[in-house]
Amino acid sequence: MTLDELILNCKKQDLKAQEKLYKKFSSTLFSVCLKYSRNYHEAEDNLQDAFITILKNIEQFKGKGSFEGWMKRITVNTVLQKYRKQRVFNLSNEEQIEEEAEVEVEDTKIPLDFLLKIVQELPDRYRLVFTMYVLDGCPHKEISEEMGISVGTSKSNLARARKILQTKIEEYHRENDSR
Amino acid sequence: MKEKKHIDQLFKERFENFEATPSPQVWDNIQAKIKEEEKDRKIIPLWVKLGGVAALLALILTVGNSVFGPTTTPSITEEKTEINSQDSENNNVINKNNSKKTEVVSEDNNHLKDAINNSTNENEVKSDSHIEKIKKNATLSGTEIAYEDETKKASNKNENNSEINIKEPANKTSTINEAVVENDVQKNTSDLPSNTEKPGEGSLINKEKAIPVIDGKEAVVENEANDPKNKDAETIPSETENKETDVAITEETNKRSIFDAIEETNDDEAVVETKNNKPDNYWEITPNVGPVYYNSLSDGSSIDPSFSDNPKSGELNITYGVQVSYNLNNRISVRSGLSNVNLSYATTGIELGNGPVSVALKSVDYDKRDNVIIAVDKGALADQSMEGEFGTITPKSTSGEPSINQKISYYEVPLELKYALLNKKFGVNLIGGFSTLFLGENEIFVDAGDFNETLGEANNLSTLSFTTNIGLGLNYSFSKKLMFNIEPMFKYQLNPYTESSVDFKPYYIGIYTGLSFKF
Repeated sequence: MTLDELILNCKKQDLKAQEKLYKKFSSTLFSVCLKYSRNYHEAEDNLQDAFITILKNIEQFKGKGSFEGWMKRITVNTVLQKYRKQRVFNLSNEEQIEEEAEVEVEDTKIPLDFLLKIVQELPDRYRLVFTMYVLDGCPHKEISEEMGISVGTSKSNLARARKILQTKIEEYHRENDSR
Repeated sequence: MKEKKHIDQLFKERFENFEATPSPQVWDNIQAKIKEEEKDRKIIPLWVKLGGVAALLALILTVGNSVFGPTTTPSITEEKTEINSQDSENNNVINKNNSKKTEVVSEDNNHLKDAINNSTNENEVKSDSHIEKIKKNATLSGTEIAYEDETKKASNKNENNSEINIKEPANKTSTINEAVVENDVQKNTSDLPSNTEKPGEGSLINKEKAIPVIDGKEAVVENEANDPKNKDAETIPSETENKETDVAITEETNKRSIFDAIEETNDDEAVVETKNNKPDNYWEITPNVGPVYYNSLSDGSSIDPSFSDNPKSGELNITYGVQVSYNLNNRISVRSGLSNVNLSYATTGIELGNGPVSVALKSVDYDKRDNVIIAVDKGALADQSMEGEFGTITPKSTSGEPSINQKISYYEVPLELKYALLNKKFGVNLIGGFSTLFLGENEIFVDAGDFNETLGEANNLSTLSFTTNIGLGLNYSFSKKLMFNIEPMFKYQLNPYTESSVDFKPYYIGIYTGLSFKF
């Protein structure tokens, strides 16, 4: 069954087609969720909510552009919406810092698990800005619109996220080198 | 020398092909939620409709109540509160009251006679219509007493007769009471303003009770007629002395007209019965559940006319819901509620095949599928596989006997009257009424041994239909507040299908069991 047929059957709310669609894309979408969520468990919750939204709104996908891109966008939006509800974006008295040009780290064999873990451990908004900007390549303007923050705040959050991550990576190196 | 790299670069590279598999639980949750939401979507508009129906019902009940018995209800409540204050004593005290009553009557006998004379005299002066009324009543009571005598003579053996005797005269006397009381009221209004209400109550209750007389149910009449008397008897202790004259008049008249009967009758029994006349509780709420069996009175098929002569079997399903009833008196109650009824039946003698939707069953909505499972009358495929309309169908071999099944669920809002034939600890009731059915789920599927597939929804079912209901209610009271019910009900569907050509006359039989909480 081609992807188009699968989508067509999903539009008819055919449960078997829906399951096939899930099996085909769950890994891709789950990786998105992992990058944007606080932990594994929340990522699963978000994947669940996002996929239900996808199935409910699949009628709206008119075949323009990539279906995978469309699903990813819905997934990211689901997560953003969730954190928007939790008001994590309203950090008060936040001092904006300037972006530093050189945040460099040693590229030795750092496990991916560790990198994911430190991203997830970032404060919510730093994590979302960092993931959107660095991992998904969104410009600050788009991030600011998506999250309802200013471009300045977005840049500042990114800089803070980088700092935190850099510190953690350096700590990691220290611990592993000393062993 | 360790190589340094921009942190963005590092993360970008490492996450480029990042993928992870979620636990299988996630899909299970998604699946469960999809099903749940599909159900919710169907239920929400239904609740809007039901809300309308409930509002309408409430309106009917309220308006009906104020139109048909504006003074009855408040007077009953008033009476009830009076009684309640003594309620605990009442059961034991009934006999006492009764004897008191006779005492009062005998004590005041002379006063009463005077009072009556006075009132009648005064009345004569005041208005002719009253006199007429009294005369009329007098003649009525004459005929009644005569009737009473007749029945006495004809009477064979048992209590029934004595009961009837009491009733008939009592009924009359209460009408007399009404007239006398009226006069009395006119006379006494100045000094006894509170009394004006009392006789009114009596007469109103009497009127209300008079309804069952039409049915010729003497057993009912008995209770009804006694009601005002009973009330007076009960109120005596709580009333002031002023009341005595008034009460005495009633009692006196009662006594005179039913004099003979009283001698022969077990007075206690009569009093006990009159007490039962008022329901202890006006409201009942009954969650219930039960098996329902669905079938048709005719041979036709709702799925396709070609299945008319096929064997069909109704299936046992379940119904559950909540009923709310309002007791008009201790015999008659009106009730409504909401329940979910699941019905299904199977048609056998068919065979299955795969084919284009154009030759499939017309009554099934296949939801845009092009190639579908097709059910036809057994033998049809073999006959026509060479050519004709079934030529495009590929027969499907099945391991078991194939059947085509229809599954329907309705949301039912009944409106029923319940009449108590027996309302002691163990009760027997007749129930009649109608229900409004709102179509809930609806599915046609085929089943053959290991093969099972949903074809789609039937497209010929009415979303709104009605049933006429008749049934028998048996109940057992654990206490004044709690009662166990079992009610076999027969419900016949009036307009289940949008097409009148469908020769399928479905009915369902349910055995509803539930617990009634009275308040």
